[in-house]
Amino acid sequence: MDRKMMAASTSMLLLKLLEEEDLYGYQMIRRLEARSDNVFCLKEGTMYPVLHALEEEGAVESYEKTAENGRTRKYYHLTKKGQRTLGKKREEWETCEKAVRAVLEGGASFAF
Amino acid sequence: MPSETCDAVENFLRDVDDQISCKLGLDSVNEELRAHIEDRMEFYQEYGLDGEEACRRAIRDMGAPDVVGLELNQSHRLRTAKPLLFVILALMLTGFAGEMLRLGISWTLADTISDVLYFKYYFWGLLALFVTARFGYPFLLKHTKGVCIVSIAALAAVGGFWILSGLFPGVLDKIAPNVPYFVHRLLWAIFNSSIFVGAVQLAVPVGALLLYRRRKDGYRGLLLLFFWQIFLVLLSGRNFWSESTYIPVLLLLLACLGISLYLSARGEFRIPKGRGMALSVLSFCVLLALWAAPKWDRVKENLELCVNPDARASVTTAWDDSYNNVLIRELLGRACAFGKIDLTDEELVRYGTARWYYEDGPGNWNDGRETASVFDSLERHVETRMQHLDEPALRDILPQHYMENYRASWWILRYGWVPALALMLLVAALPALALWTAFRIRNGLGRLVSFSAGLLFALQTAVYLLEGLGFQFGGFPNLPFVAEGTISITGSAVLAGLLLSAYRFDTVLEEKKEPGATSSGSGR
Repeated sequence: MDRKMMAASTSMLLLKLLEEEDLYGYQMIRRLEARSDNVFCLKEGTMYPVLHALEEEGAVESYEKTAENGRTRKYYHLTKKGQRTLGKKREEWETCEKAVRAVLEGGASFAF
Repeated sequence: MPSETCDAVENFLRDVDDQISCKLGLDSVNEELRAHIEDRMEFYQEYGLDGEEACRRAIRDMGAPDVVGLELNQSHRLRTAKPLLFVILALMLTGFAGEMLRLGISWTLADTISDVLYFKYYFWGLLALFVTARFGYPFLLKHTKGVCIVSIAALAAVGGFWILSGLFPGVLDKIAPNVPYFVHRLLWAIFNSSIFVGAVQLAVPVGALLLYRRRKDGYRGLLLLFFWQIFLVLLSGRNFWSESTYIPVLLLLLACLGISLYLSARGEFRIPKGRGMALSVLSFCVLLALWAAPKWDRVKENLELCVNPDARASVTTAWDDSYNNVLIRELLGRACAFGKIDLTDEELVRYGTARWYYEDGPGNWNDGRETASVFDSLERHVETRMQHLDEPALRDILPQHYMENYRASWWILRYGWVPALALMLLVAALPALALWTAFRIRNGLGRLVSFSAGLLFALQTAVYLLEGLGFQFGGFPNLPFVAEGTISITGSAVLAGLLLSAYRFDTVLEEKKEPGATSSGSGR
């Protein structure tokens, strides 16, 4: 998938995953791959700047938790502000998707 | 992991770090990335790859380290709360200018140097502000427990001294001559009301720290905060079981109530939210009752003085706080939108001598209700004041220390309502921006300490403005950085510095949380 297109929707996808439950970075990558049938294979390191930016703007919060194997994971949690951001991003995406589809399918056109 | 594999991971992390300009707190970033690579390696190894190949692929999947580093650099950086810093500096300048105008400006070099030295608290304040903003939060994060222990120990030492001086006054008198002079001065200063305001300013964030550290221990955190407040209330009773401690104590109790309500509402305690809030309010009421009960008559008098000062006119000798409240309200009613209040020379004399207040007609004092002794006292008071009113001016008729205690009123009377409201907006901008900045901090500890500072600023400002506009109750709080300054300027500077520091390092330094503890308490 085109990188720029992927980057535009990464934050929305991450927020969506966190809407369901708290996850750590690696889990999010695995979920994305599994749900998109390996279409969304972003460079894994580039997900962290997106997560940190979301955290800075208050859309997500992080906390540490030690796993059974003793490894400390940094979990992310969707905040109320994050829920609102997700709703807004989803609306934008749906509007955009509808417009792109309309153009591709040669739908409604207005003559002036 | 084989050593060459480790080297490859560490090299990747080093390349990422190289692109991040702020080197503080990189351990946390590295730890997160390292854990991710290790998880990915395990995944590949489950599919039969050997360690080295699994590592190579895991690192490849991460992408180019310089790209990752450059993108992380966008969020991993120090921040400055510029609007807040600007308002703090503007207020310090306003306070400094106000002090210069109050004492009169002298343009000779020697006098200027002398004046500058007199305002040393502003320089100490500036120094404290920048040192705290630069080092405060990292220090607090590293030594949270130590700060709590030292604060409790300092308070216990002062409390111990208080008990000793009460139980064995003779012993202290014997020791006193042998104690170095500076220790004498220090002990005196601890019981001075001005430093008590400063102590309360610092005690509030310390109370917030104590509560935050024990927030997962059920009711213990709230109990600890309760005892912390009792300790301080008792301390205020040593030499100043008087009006001068009313406001600092009220500020302390209200701020601590705000902090515990805030944490309760966020579900930070391991007790139901409603119960936490109810306990916070209950402990506030108990503390208020404990504080007010021993001197209820005086508290009641001060309440009357604040709400209905006219009712106390007949029992007032002269020139006290009920008089000040009546005078301020009377004059504010005559203030202009722009410019100085318009008063004739005759009115200035009548206000300046307080004759307008007591004399209902020539020789008729307070409707004839005053006793002879009070009458004589009032006559003497007016005569004394007359000697100083050859050329009466606005500043001569206002209460003593008018530009300290009544700075807001002075602005209105001297410059008019509109310029005064502009200055009051600047004053109100401090708590508003402080709270706004605090809520933008993501680390729980930094946010709570900043919230406590913002809340205290808000309470101090609100109470000062209310009292200064003719509703005085007991003593005055300080108007942060502007009035009632001295030692409280340092206290305000430390609070503001902590806030700036928590915001500055927020995206860089992670608060180490104990397993299971979360910052939002959303029940994860």
